[in-house]
Amino acid sequence: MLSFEGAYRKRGGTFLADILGDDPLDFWAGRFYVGVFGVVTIVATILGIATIALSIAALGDGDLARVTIGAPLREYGLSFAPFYQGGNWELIIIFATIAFVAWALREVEICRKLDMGYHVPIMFSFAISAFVVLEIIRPLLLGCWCEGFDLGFTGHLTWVSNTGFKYMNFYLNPFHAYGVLGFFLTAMVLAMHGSAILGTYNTNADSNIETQNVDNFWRDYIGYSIGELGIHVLGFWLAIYTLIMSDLCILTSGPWVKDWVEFWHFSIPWFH
Amino acid sequence: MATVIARPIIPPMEFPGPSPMDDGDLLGMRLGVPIRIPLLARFGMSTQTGVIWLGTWGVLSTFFFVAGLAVLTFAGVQQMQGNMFLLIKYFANVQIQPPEGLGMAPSLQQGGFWQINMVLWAASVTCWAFRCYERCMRFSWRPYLFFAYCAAILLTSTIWVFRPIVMGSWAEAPALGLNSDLDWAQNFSVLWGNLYYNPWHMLAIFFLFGSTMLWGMHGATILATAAEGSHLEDAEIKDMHSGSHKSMLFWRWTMGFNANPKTIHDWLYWFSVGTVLASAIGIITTGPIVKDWYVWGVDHGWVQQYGAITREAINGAPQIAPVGINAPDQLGVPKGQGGY
Amino acid sequence: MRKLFAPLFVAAVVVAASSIAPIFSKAKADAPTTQSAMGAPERALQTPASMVNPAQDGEEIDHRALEIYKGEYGPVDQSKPLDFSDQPKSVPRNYAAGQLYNVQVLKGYSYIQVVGQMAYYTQSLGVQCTYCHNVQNFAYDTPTKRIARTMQIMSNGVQHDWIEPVKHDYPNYAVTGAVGCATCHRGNPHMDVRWNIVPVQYLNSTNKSTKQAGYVVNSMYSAARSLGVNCLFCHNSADFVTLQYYPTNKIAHRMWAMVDDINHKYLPANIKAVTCYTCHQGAKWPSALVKAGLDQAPVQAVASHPEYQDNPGAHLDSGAGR
Repeated sequence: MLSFEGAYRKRGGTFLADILGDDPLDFWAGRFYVGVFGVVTIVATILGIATIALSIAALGDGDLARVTIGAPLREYGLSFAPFYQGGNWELIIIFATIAFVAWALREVEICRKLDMGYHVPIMFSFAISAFVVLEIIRPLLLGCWCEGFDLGFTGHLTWVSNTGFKYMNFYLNPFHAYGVLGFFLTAMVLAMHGSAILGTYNTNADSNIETQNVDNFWRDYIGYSIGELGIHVLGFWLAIYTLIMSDLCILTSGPWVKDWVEFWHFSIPWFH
Repeated sequence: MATVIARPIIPPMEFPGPSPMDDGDLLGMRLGVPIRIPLLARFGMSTQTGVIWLGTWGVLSTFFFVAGLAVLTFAGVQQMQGNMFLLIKYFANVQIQPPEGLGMAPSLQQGGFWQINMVLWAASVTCWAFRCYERCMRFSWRPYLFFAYCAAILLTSTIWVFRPIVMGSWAEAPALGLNSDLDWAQNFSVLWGNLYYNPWHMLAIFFLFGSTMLWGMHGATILATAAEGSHLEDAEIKDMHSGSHKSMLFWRWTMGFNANPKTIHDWLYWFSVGTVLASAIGIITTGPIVKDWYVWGVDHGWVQQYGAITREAINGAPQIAPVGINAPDQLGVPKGQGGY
Repeated sequence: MRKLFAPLFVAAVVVAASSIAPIFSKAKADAPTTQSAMGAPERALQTPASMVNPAQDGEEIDHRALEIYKGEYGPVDQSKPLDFSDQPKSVPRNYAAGQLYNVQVLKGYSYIQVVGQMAYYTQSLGVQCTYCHNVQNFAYDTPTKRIARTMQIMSNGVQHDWIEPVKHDYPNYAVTGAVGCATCHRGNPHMDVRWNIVPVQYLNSTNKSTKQAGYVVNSMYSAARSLGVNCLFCHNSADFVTLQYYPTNKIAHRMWAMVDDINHKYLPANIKAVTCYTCHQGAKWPSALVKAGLDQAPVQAVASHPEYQDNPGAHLDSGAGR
């Protein structure tokens, strides 16, 4: 345990405690908090890894970078495919989703224990949404599980490439462009914030460098300083914006637009 | 704490006083008065905009940047034959192409504008780098920001300058224009065997997505504990209080590992710098070293082989045997063939 | 030391990534190890046998027509009616006896066959006889007649050089009469010229700058739009350059060479009026074939070809159904 940790480890306040009165799973295993959702996560993870291991053994390729567990073929539609022809993929998706959601709920429990805001699980939910949109919602909208990405290190990259070219030129997807902008802005702002702190921090208690210095630097350099709270607000909302744009970019490709080059060939009345 | 603050406290506006380090710069002055935007306080952001520091390097950089914009606009108007209406409608399609080969462009239209813009852009970016260094020194910062900026310049220089020089033609660089930049990314990947299989590209994406993930984690953590002052990171590094305790414990209990208020910024910084550095390596190895990333991937066991690889396609033998081309003397006229 | 942890981690990831290659075996997968519909099980595919074009028909062709046409394309203004003011008002002709005059290309056709062919022309181009003829004197030569002669030569040439040899690889393909006036003109004397493509030599991948690759990619988009399909119809985007095993890819190579040949042989030097769109007009198989009931034959022919059996899934995702 960390030096100050003891004071913060308190039982109570969990979901199961609200339902049952006492939560037998409300304990720490070493440094990890368990809780009911921790158990769910571990079980789902173990089942998922077992399915993956079975599938890799059946595929007979020991090269982990190359082996790919593919989505079922189009002929199975939204039904359960046979295990080695896509059923394993479907199962892994189910286990993964359960594990991710349980992880987010476990984070909520930890937030409640520490009396913190729920920002972290909310952010993580947006990250889960990217996975769910890609593997569950979009295939449902398009009517077959074959539309989800294959599970494999380079296998999923082939899927990304082929899906992009299916819509001719994915760079022209405006939501994709907004998402890329979000990613690049995030990287830039991250470098700025990281270098601001790393450039000015001082561990001596009697240092004469104060936070005012950081504000003045940014005002000199780019004309605006967002402030030490504001930068975290900006980062939080930039990440959420990026994830929302990513979700939209893949949801619109297929259900709405089939050709992103043709998408731009519209004419506005009066504007010829 | 809520991200929107109901009754924000707005501090007075300020900027640093004179310093002997600012002397000796002809244009060393702060221009104008700061402007207050009160709405920003509701989102926890500082309300003061301005006053920006000019500085010789800053003024030079701005001048070159504006000059570059002017050249771009002029070239764009020329492309649209003077029709401003068309320029607005086809703004994304304006493209100023580079010349072939490494010499001077034969004319303004055939790469001259591109080269002029490259010079102006390089000058502007270099002046800004000097400005960055000078301001860091003025405020006694460790040069993290300057290094990050130099890494970014390294990436863009690799794409627009170094790799074209190594490959022997300016035409390897992207044209200037919105759609043409996007097309360059697509054409580049198509020509060199699909960049997804470039391991440096994979690393760069890992760092890029990781940056966004870390930003989400760090931003969310600070906002969740901001009520206890965890956003005052300089103070927290010197002496941690309950906000930092909770942040660290949250991650320790969740994933078994935690940074501290100082080292988290190491993670943030190196992930974002790692993005641009890995990208630069990925670009410069494409062409000079690896001709086809898919074939490279198959050869090194990374990638599933999807079909017979026609190595002639990358080694230069003709792919298309002339088929069905017959001597014109033997053309026949099918009798009674009136079509349908 | 703690403050170096993050940069060390990043460096470790970089080093591990670059050293990961020797850890994995260099052996390529022999058996299919992916069940994805996107990547296809690999199997070395044979290129089709080179197509032999047996010599046909020792008939003479009036190549003057070609030369005349190529030289006269410019000044011909087909928007104005023909001017016969300098011609004799009537010339003695004996059409009733089945006589034909000034027939240069349709040699060996009987009178009825010539008239039938003329009716086909008017139907395919959506024009009247006066578009090419002085109806007081059908034999009189006009600029549009000369163009029509070249077009007839071209139509026969394309059918003979490019369509007939398809039987060698797809024996079930009903090739007869695939190319006629209507194939390209569709009831319009002026063809719809759009979706231009680069010459076929451009498709070779070496020694191309990224800018030149852009021309090829634009052409690929033109070809895809002309056929109403997306990139996956012919390609596996894992590698556009080396993966060319789809039957559609091979067909497209031939088609590309054909378009080049047509533009080079029958049209004036700088005019690339014929593109993929000319015949396909947005359909995988030209609707002219559909009208003749011939489109199902190519579908069956391609689908039943042994080369196609390995990767049916790829084509299901091609978006060609829109």
